[in-house]
Amino acid sequence: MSKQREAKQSRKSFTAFRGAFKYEFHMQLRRPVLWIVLLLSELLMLGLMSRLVTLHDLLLSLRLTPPMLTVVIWTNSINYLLPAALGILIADRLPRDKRTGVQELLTTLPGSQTARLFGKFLGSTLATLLPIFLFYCLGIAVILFLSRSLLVLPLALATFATIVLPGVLFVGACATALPTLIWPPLYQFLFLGYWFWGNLYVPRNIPTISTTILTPVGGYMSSGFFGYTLFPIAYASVFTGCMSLLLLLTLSILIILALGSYQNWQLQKL
Amino acid sequence: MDVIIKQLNKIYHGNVHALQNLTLTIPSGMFGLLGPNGAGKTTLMRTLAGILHPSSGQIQVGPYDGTSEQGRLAIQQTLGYLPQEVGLYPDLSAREFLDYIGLLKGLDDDRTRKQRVEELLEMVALQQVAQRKIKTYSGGMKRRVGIAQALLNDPRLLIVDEPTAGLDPEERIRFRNLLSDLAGERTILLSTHIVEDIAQTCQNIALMQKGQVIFQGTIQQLLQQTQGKVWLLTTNGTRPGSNCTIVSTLHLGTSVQYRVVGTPGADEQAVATEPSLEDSYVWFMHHQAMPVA
Amino acid sequence: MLHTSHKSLRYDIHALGWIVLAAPIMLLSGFLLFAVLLLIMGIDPTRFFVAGLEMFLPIAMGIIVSTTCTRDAALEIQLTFPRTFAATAMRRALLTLGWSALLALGATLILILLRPDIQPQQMQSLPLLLALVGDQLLWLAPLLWFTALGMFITLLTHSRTAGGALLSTIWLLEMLFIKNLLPHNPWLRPLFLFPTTLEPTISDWLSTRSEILGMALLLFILSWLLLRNREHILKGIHHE
Repeated sequence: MSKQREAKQSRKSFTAFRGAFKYEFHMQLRRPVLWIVLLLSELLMLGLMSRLVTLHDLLLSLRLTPPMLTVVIWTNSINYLLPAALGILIADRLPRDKRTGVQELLTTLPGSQTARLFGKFLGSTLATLLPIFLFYCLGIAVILFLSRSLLVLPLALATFATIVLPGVLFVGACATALPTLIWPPLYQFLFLGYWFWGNLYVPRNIPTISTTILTPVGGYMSSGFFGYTLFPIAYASVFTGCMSLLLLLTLSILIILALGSYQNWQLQKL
Repeated sequence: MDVIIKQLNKIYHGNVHALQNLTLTIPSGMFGLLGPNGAGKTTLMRTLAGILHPSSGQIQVGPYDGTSEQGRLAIQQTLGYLPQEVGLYPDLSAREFLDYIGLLKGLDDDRTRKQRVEELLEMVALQQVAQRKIKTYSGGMKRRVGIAQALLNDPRLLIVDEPTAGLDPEERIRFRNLLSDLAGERTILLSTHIVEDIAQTCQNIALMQKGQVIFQGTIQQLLQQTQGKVWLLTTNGTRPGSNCTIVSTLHLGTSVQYRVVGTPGADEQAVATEPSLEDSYVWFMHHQAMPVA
Repeated sequence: MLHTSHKSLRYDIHALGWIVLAAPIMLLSGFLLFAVLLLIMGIDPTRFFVAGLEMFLPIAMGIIVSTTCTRDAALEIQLTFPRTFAATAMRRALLTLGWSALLALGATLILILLRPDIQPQQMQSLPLLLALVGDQLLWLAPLLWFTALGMFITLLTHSRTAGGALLSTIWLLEMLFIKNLLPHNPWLRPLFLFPTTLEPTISDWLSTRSEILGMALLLFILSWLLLRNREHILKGIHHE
């Protein structure tokens, strides 16, 4: 009897997760602001990067550099800037539920609150990642055209899945959870400061976590699995790459679980 | 102060016609604007309040031309506006909120403004709680703060959009009485889809549908036009034909009594009855949707 | 009018929230504390503190001002007042910026009096009083630029998220790329927002500051025009 109840409960939780995922994904994807911000960010990034070298030099370097290295460099470049925009674009999802009164409605539903939170987190994060992935694919298409090596395709998927995805999930979890505790503009500023100091800052005088496996820009995975990274990582192996990847994924899950517990605690206080 | 609107059009982005050749004269006193959701009531009110620019047409408010920038500014000097969803600062008290809005409305003289705030707090029966933060107020109290802010500049034209929506019956009656008391020499445009509010407060009304005025006149005239269109039909449960719109249904044990507007079939045993304002509203919305020229 | 503005300030602070005024204090105090920590560790904290004034204060206030000053709980009723919402929004922006400016001014004066050598080269040749005034452009130019751009994007897109995200992107691009781009792309000089921190020996510090101030002024004018458009502002009420 209790097994039946448990099965029914887990079915309900899965339905809640699936529903939240599907509609958060669609709602986020339909926001014109998402496309405007990411397109402008991508254009600005591409525009400035293209000024660093001439087109001729760039094409020459793309022809001479091994395709694998080019793919890794391109994946690293994506992770420089765009996850920062992603972290801000996701941050208003949960406060929006509160503002529109939907959160009150959701708390009356039978499905698991944590399952819904996971659906919301994954749906909005993956939807925000889609414009970035399309931009990434555009770069991969250019590399494929110049190298004429079909190996680029599975490699591109592997680098994206191991270098970009874990960090983006971590950023998405933070962006979903933290604005419930911090005033949103302050969160935006702190997140930006963290992104620079904790990921891109090359350690000189000021201590930083940009060289630890906690960094979500994926330097350890990039260097450990594929032998090269643009980020300030002194040494990485396959082991440290795996550790960094697992740490980021575990932290993402823990952050959402903590958010679920926090929301339940808040509900009990009412 | 009369408000005269001629051939007013408002077209939103995407070719959405919110107001279509709307012509309407609003005399002094309470004037009710009735219509379903999406009829264009809020667009009309926002246009009169100078928030939206009409796509074409004329608006004359007393001596001012509501379509020119100068006229709009002059109207705003003498306007009070209570929107459908009035936003208040939750951390201010009612007294502070009214003082702040008074400053923003341009009431520069401290003594006069503070005196006006106290008068209004008394008028809306909030003086006892005027020191409390607005976030502690009930929905009805917040609505009363809303009407008080609209009256700060002693407006000659008061526009109130769905003021009683969501209020309990007692608070609704209180609010209606307050508006009636205010009417005096003012022009009050009351928009609502609650027929009872109009019936209790307004002599003159207009019905709106799909951005057009489909009736304008007194309540008596509206009721007259619906004479002979309202029927009581008793059946064994069979619903009336498609020529009729059911207004209410009363189960009487083995039979069912329907109150309908329209033209019942010859085989249906219908008894004519006196129309109410609600019956007239239903008749115009479903059977007489012709714009008033 | 001035009298009314003065009277409204207390209420403006309430409408904005005290955190708006607390934010620059918290930020500069944080930088000051960290600077002390660096000093204890035997590291010269001067450049770090300059970065706080030139890079971090402007982006923080840019995000905060564009988020808070472009919206209002009682917006719809304000759109029917003869005094436009544009005046209210700009007064609130000035209040927030004025407060940040006051704090930044004090911090810069102390910093320069303690370490005159950190002044931009162009300023070092000027008489002390004039140099102290000119030095304020260190934070003033990027502060106004980020605030004006943030307000403009937020008002144009009706989205506070868009404002914050685009400001953040531009800030990161400035930090990461602009210094390396300048030698071969001199046309980017008017967009060099943080020269005091990134390239202290820059020769045209004053002229680039003036260009940035000019851009900020233009963006404020555009924001003002958007704020005066009642219909445009009304559309934004139901957006995020």
